[in-house]
Amino acid sequence: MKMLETRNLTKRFGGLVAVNGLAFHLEQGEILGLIGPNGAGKTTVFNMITGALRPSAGEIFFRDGRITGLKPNRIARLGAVRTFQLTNLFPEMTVLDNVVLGTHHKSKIGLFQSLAATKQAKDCEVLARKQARGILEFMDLADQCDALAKNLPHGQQRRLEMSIALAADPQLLLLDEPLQGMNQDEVRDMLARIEKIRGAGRSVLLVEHNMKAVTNICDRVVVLDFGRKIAEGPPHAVMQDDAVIEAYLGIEA
Amino acid sequence: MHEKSRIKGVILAAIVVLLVAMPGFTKEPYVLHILCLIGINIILAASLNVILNIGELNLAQAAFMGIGAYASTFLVMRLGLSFWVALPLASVITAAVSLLIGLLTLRFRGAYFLLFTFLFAELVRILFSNFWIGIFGGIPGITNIPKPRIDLGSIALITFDSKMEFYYLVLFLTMLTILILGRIDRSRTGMIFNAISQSESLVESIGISTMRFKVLGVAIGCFFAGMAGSLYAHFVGIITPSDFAVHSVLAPIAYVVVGGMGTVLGPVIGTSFLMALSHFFLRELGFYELLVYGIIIVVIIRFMPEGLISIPRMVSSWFAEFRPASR
Repeated sequence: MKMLETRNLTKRFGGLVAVNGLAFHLEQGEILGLIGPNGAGKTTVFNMITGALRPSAGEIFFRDGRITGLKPNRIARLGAVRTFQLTNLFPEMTVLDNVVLGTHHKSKIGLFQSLAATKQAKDCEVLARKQARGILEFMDLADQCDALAKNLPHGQQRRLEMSIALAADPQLLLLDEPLQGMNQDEVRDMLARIEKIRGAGRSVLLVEHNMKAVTNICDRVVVLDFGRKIAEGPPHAVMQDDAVIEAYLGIEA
Repeated sequence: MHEKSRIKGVILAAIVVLLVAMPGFTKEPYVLHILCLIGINIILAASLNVILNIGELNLAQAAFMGIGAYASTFLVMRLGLSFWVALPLASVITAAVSLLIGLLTLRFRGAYFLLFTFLFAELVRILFSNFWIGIFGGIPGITNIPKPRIDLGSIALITFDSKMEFYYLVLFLTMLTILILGRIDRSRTGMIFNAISQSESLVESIGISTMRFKVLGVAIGCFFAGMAGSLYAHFVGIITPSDFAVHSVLAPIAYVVVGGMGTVLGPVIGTSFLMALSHFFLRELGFYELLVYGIIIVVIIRFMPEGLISIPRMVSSWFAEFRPASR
């Protein structure tokens, strides 16, 4: 089953065509890498899929429904949850509260129940905390529950961001350069986690410009250059592709 | 931690008892008058703080207070409603107006929201000054606004003519406001308000409509601004458009910042401190009053950026620093 599909996806910023007629899809349970050199348009594609940018033309389908131009919160509630390229969490909250908020859209706490602090709202609160703890254990952050998010080291902050996204219970997890600023060990650890998340039945779209790092875990990769798809297929085959080598290394003399 | 919250509870209870017993210590009308004004301003500052909590500064907060004040006098003087009906109704009307304004302006953030609310405040002032003068009274405003009264026929008749009766009314409503806002702050809704001010994009990305919660935050804030306005109108007895002009929001902003932004008790502490300071202690300075007042605000903001409410934490961290040395 197709989890995500784009057709003729195009984004123009004034005269600049950042993404040009992009068509690709992602199967259920797949890890798809969206790669390309800096400025290739990866993040623009990512932002269009998650609703942060409105496409100039083209369509986006998520689980057979059209999501083109929907608000980010709507897309997240449908089950496509993103992380951010730059660290983005609730710095002044505890680690646990960060993840509790991730579970909010699935919880049944209505506005007024929450204000009136009804028994049902309290039960939901207890349940949310339990779920959040479970996710933090999965991400090996359980011992940091009561720490403020801003006080965590960078590697743990990135894990916390992923925990928040997981708490929103995504069918499709969209990761925007999750390996940025990480050392070798952290990269290896993060890749193992992404593999584990897929193991739990979720699909993953991974945007990355570090091609080597993703070849091992991606089932397929889509390579972008100057807003166009220049190659698609299994990572090792794509790595041998002349157009890809040219895009990354320049034309051979 | 448990002991700390118990100490806090005892202190709060003591303050409440003290405030309830206050008229026993002083029958001085001036003191009670100022205490009433402090209470009304606490409600206004707290309402401003609710909106600050979602990361926006509403320059029209005083204008919304004005809407509450004018709505309440209209309901009482034109429609003949009792004050006890007019007060909640005026608050609801204010919240409803803010809901509309919120839907229109909250898609703009930061400086743009600020500008919109600035313009709205001016709009409200011009409306009250120049339009429907028969109803709003033009620039001179409305006078002889009746005092509230409780008429239980032959059993009892309480008119709120003296400062003391009004003092208890203001005290009750101020405490009610703080209790409700405290409850909201601890609820899931309060947590989301707070999260929005920290990262709107992240809140949106986990499936929560930031627009919905921001509109709600503004409506809650303006409900209490309207309540403060209704109280003010019937307490002072005279309202004019300039009472609620855009400059009137500057003092409450100072109260919130000096007390501690984003906390429930911060606006209470800031308003009480600054208003008591200027009305009870700086009066004698005459010409220099505003100068000294301004310097005190600047010094507090410079050395306590998190407001007066951070004093206990600062003190305990000093002690923590000294402890290893004494060992």
